[in-house]
Amino acid sequence: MDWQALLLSLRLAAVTTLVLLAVACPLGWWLSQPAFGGRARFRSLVEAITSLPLVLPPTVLGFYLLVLLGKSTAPGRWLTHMLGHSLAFSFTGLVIGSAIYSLPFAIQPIVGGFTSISQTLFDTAAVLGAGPWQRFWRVGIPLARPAFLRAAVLVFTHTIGEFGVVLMIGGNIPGSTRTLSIALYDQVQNFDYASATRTSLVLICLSLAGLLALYGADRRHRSRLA
Amino acid sequence: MPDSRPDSPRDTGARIAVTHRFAGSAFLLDVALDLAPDWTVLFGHSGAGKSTLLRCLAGLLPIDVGTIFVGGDCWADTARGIAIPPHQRNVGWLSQRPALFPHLTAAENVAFGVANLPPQQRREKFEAAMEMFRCRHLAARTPSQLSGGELQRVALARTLVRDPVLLLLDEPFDGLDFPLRESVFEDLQQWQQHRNIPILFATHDVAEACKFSTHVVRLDSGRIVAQGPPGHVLLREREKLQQWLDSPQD
Repeated sequence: MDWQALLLSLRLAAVTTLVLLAVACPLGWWLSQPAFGGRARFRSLVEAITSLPLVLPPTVLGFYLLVLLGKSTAPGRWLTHMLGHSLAFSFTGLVIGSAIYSLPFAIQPIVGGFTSISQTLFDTAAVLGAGPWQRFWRVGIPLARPAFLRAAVLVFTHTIGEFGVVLMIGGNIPGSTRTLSIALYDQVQNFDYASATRTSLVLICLSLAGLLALYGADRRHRSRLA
Repeated sequence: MPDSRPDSPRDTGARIAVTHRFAGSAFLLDVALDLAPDWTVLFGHSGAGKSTLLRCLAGLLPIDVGTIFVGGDCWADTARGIAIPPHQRNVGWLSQRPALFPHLTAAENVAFGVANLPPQQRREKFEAAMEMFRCRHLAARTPSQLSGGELQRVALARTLVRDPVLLLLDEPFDGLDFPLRESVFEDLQQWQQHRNIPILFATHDVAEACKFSTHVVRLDSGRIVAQGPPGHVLLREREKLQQWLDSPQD
């Protein structure tokens, strides 16, 4: 069992989840608000872009990110100059790639959570003196709480099992970019099926535990509001 | 904060002249109305525009053209580009379904609208509303643990705890049985005696309209078609109701 790879996968999944919750919360709120005309068309464009990783092959996304973060492009050179090192083949690069790749898994549950709240509740809050921020904090966030949990579990488990993007951006550097799924690939390449079986089992258990926690929390939340 | 105009009447009534058209719809709301600091019944069948008018007054729907003055304060004036948002209007709005926040207890629901007040003032207003609408024993319950009548009582306390300067009631007692409705009406009338503000009460129920109001406004297809005392405006409906009550029942 490659413990270093397991720890790196858990760290990558935890950081990606935190980053995506911070990004997806305001973005999901904005996407869930009613819009008309030109603004609605712009929102559709943003929705399409944030959903793109769902249909794009991970290797394509990984390749473009590798090029963008590398020294061959102006943004890559600027980032290298600012940080003192290239983001490609680094843990930070992995986080950026994972966050982009898992973005729809955070955005879609959160948008769904906000849009499932009755507009009458927001209207009621408004006439009770709550401005836009208060409506967001005092009505939107508490009522969409199960959606945040759903997003967190989906992003975490999705990142744990990520392969294509991680391999393209991070390569296979032990302790730095070698995650559990890359370790599994290596084990299979080396015909070490016993280790591969254990690694696969860990990946399955992590995913199953996350989903069990999610469905349990969902059931408790529904019974509390029923 | 609401703007006031020097030539607007500094009273506790309201002066309204609004038009609103839904995008892609032929329906046009076009209403001009003065509200006395008393009950006014907005009578009309489903689709007449009652809820649309109330939502325009609350600021939940934009008005296309017109003005809204309440107690001398300007809430909307399209010519001057004024549109005070709903959270700054101090309006009371009670919808047909009591939209209590499901994640809060009854007490937290009632306190929602006074959260920005200083603690002492907040406590006084909260206690008074809970007492007046007999919600004290419901304080710790969540909305899922309340009956229809209890839900509406808590919703009423929550609406009135803020001491609104205009109260909009959108058929709020439709689902309640008769004794419960009577009891809530009495509480509300008692509250109004102390506040003396304009109350616009939308209903399609003739008995309710006659019971409550000295002034009825009849709305049809977005326009006022009659207004005056209930005996005059609702004469036809009252006669039909009387005939129905007098007819021998099987």
